[in-house]
Parts: sequence; C-alpha cells; structure tokens
Amino acid sequence: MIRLFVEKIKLLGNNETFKLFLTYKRGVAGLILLSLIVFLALTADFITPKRFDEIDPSSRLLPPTIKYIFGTDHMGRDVFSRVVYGARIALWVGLLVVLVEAGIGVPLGLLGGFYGGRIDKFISAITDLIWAFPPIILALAIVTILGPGLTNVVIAVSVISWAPYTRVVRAKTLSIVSREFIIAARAIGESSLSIILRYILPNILPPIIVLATLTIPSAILYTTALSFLGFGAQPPTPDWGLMLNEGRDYIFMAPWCCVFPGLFITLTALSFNLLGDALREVLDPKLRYG
Amino acid sequence: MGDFLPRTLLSIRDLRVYYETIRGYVRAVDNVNLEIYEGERFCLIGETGCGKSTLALAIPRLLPPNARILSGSIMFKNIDLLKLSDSELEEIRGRDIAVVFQNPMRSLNPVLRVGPQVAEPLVAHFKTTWREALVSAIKQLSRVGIPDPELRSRDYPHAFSGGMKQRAMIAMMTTCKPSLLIADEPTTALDVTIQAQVLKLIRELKDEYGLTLLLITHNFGIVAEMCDRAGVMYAGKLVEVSNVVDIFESPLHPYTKGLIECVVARKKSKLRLSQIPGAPPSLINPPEGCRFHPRCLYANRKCVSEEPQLIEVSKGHLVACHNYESNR
Repeated sequence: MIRLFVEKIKLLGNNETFKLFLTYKRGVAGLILLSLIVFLALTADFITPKRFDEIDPSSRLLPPTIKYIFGTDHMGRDVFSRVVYGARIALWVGLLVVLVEAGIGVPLGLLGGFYGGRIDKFISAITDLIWAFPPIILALAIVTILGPGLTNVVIAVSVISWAPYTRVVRAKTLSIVSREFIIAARAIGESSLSIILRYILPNILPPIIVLATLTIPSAILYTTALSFLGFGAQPPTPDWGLMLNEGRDYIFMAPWCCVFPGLFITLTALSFNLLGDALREVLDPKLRYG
Repeated sequence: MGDFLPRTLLSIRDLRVYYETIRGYVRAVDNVNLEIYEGERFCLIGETGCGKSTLALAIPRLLPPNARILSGSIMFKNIDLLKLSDSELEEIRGRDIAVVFQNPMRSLNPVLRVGPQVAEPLVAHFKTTWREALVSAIKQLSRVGIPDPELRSRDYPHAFSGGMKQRAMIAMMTTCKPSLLIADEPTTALDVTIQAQVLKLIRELKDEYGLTLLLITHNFGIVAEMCDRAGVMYAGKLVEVSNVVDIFESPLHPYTKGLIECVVARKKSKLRLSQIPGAPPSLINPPEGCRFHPRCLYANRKCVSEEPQLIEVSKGHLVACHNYESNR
C-alpha cells in the first residue's frame, strides 16, 4: 500500500505539468499550507486535547499556555480544538459550495454557449441579473427566507455566486464550438449531448478547475461572514465565523478567542488563492509561453 | 464507366444556400442541380469562395449557423436529407455520409486519444462495445498506414504529424464504410509528398470499400489524377459538368477554358502565364445575367441580360453558356 503510494508520487514527479507547478514557489507554498490545514481537519479526532464542545467553567478565558496552546474561550472551551474542528467545517462548506455553484453554473454556460440564440440570451440575462446584485444582501435575503443553519447558508452562498462559472464556461464554449473538430464530431454523427459532454467539457475543464480553486476562499469567507452575523452555524458548532462572533465581546480581555479563528480563515483563503493562481498559470498554455 | 446505366446516389435539385450577414445575403450556392452516381469519383472545382465547400457541406447539413438553405432538395438513396430531423440526420452522418476536412490539425479532438476517437463512430452508430470498437479502430489505423497502430492509438492527436492526423481522420471517417465520402480539400494543408500519399490512400479506400467520392479542390492536377467526372463552379453556380477527359480536352465554358489555360500554359512554354481578367464578383450582389460576363471575352448583349441554364450539349456534358456553340 505504502509502496504503491510512493510509486505514484514518483510518477507524479515525472509529470511535466507537475514539474512546471513546482517552479511556482508561491503555488507550492499554498499547496503546503493547504495540506497542513487539510491534515489538521482529517486528524482532528486524534490531535485535539479536548472535544470542541467540552465546557470547563473553572478555566474560562485563559491565555495560551502549554496546556491550551490557543487559550480558552468564555465557556472554558479549548480554542485550539475548536479551530481544528472548524477547519473541517470550513473545508467541507467550501467544497460543497463550489460543487453546487459549478453544478448550477457549468450546465447553464454550456447550454448558452452551445445553442446560442434565445436560450443564450435568456441565460445571459439571468447571469447578469445575479451578478448585478450585491451578493451579501441577496444571501441575507435568502437565509432570512430559508431560516438560519449551515445547509441554508451553503444554498444561499451558492445561489449568489454561480454567475462567474456561467460566464467563463459560456465564453470558453463559444470559442470551442466553432472549432473544426466539433464540426468533425457532427460529421461522424455525434448527438449534441455527446458533443457537449465528450468534446466541449473536457476541453474547458482547466479554467473550471482554476475558477473552483479561486472561488473556494470567497465561499469560505461568505459562509463565515453569515455565521458571524448569526445566520449560519448555530452554537456550539465550532464554525470560525461563529467563534469570531462569540469572541467579539471579550476581544480586549481575551483577544486569542478571535485572533486564532481569524488567522485560520485568512490562511485558508490565502492558501487557496496562492494555489489557484499557480494552477491558472500552469494550466493555461497561453500564459505559460506568452 | 461501363455501358451500364449508372445509378444515381445523390441528386441535388435547385439548391440555394445563402449566408446571412450584416451586409446582406451572400448567395454562396444559387440554384444548383447536380447528380452524383454510385461508385464514381466526382470532383468540384472552383476558386476560393465560389461556393464549392458550401455545396458539399450542405449535403450532410454541416453548414455554419448563419447559413440558410432556402430551397431545393438533396435526395440521397431516395431520402431527402433536407427534410430529415436532426436526430435522423445524426444517424446518417458518419455511417452513410462521411466528411474529411481541409485542416487535419484542427479536426481532431485534442483531449481524446486517437484510438477511441477513431472508434467513436462505431460506438455511436452500431452500439459496438468500446473494446471491440477499439480493436477495429486499431485495424483501421493500420489500414491507413499508421505505423505501430496499437501503440499510436494511445497517443493524443498532438503527438501526430499533419499527414498522420489526416490519415487518422480518414480512418475515423471510413470505419463505418460509408457510401459517400466527401473530401473537402483534403490535402490543401499538407506538404506535397504527403499530399500524394493521402490521395493514393483515398483512392485505394474508395476501391476497397466501393464508396462514392465527392472531392473538392482547386487543383487541376488532383482532378486529373483522382476523378471520373468534374463540375466547375463559378460564383455560386455550376457552370460546367462533364467527364474529366472532356473538361481538359474540350472545355465549353469560357471560365473552364481560362482556368485550364492558367495551368497548362506553362507546359506549352509560353513566356507569360495566361490569366482570367478581373476578379470574382461579390456574391452579395452578383452580376445580372451570366455571372461570368464581366470577365468573359465572348460576352454579348444576351449574356448581360439573360441567365444561361445548365443544358446537356452532348452525352454527359453540361454547360451553362449562351455561346458554347461558337466556343467549340
């Protein structure tokens, strides 16, 4: 098992795209940082000294010590444990939001770009409309209708931010659809559906991957913002936004309650942005040689 | 051609294909009538922009979205292709009618390996399993002269040279053994030595599978080498149709004559290359009467006012000119 893994890594080392990626120092830094956060999230059950919701009234608002490396909050809960469990929520939410966004945005962009005409005009109009709305206000409106909760926040954030996917996918589809190999695909009798799925989608995958990496941080930021405002995760969930909100009252007495969740929000967003920027340059041959 | 009566495979009647542009309709194909017989090699010749590709691509309806087929019928094996729904047409494309395109560099899907790509039509049309289709695809690749086909079928198209891509393209288009193969300037993008090989391959496959070939070209050398019959197009009109020998030996239309003189003049060791005066007309506003009259040395008043019809002047030799008698 481990040998197989090592073999895979060796294979990856020979892959040209991966080699190229390694030359982007900031991208590698992003990848390492992200791997650390993912590692924390995956091993949360083993590395945290306490459970995230374990209350200890005798040790409230303690500053960072060896026992509580990030200190404790107003209910005596270990901030480090909560931050680590919070990584799970943040990553999961980011991934989920991106999947839902892409699930809405990519098919719409493909349809608009492929069929053109009235369908395209209709889809573009909706996209522009969503794009023109102040996102956080629309998200607040949706959460108000659906009620608070993490699931509803995921829905709200997805609804406000699928428009970039539609735009990018539509533009890329337009540039592919008039290429000769699409006409050749028609000439061998391919149906529209298989042209979209087997000819267009694989060709526009790189920009979608880049866009996904670059929208994960904004998805995380939006969800933590909504949680901070009290619409998202409810106590005692160790959501970073919620922790910021709870720590707000003690910010002068016990700044560690806010600093560490805030730091992790920033680091996570930063790691995705660094990674996304590097991926964009690696996956886009025009930027590479231009 | 023997003395048996050839059977019509494709019959185009009064076909008009216009392109919609902001400056008006471009009359790319205007009232064209054409018969193509089973098993023959037919060639469409003409300058760039005379509508030959439009005519050929109108048959499997692979025209760009701004093309409008305004009237006419295209009967293929007694089915009117223009009346078929999209899904009915999808069944015919690739199985009965295949197209080889001009630019092999851009005609293969860059993210699909060559083998599956060549196998694709079999899976799409005959519901063959991928495994079987791949075996046939590899056979087909070796048939078109790809060395080491088993290994190369796992390559992506970018690892193929231009000539190999065109071979792969031909393999893909002939896996289903279609009855009509349309080749739209299949060698224009290739260098000369490869051109000869690809043409030879098309000729061999034609004989092997008994397919009918519709070749589009602007090269008279290819016409002479590849075809039984030829049609000359000028400004969206078919001006002369005949067997290849007559096209070269006794062309009747002044345009055909001019074209041939441009090519063969050098062999008669004339110092100056002969040319047809003037430039092809705009197809948005083509000249009245005969479309060739502004450039024609023999034009008279009738040519300016009245459009000549394509008429059969001797067996199998059709020409659209008022003055063909005097041109003999």
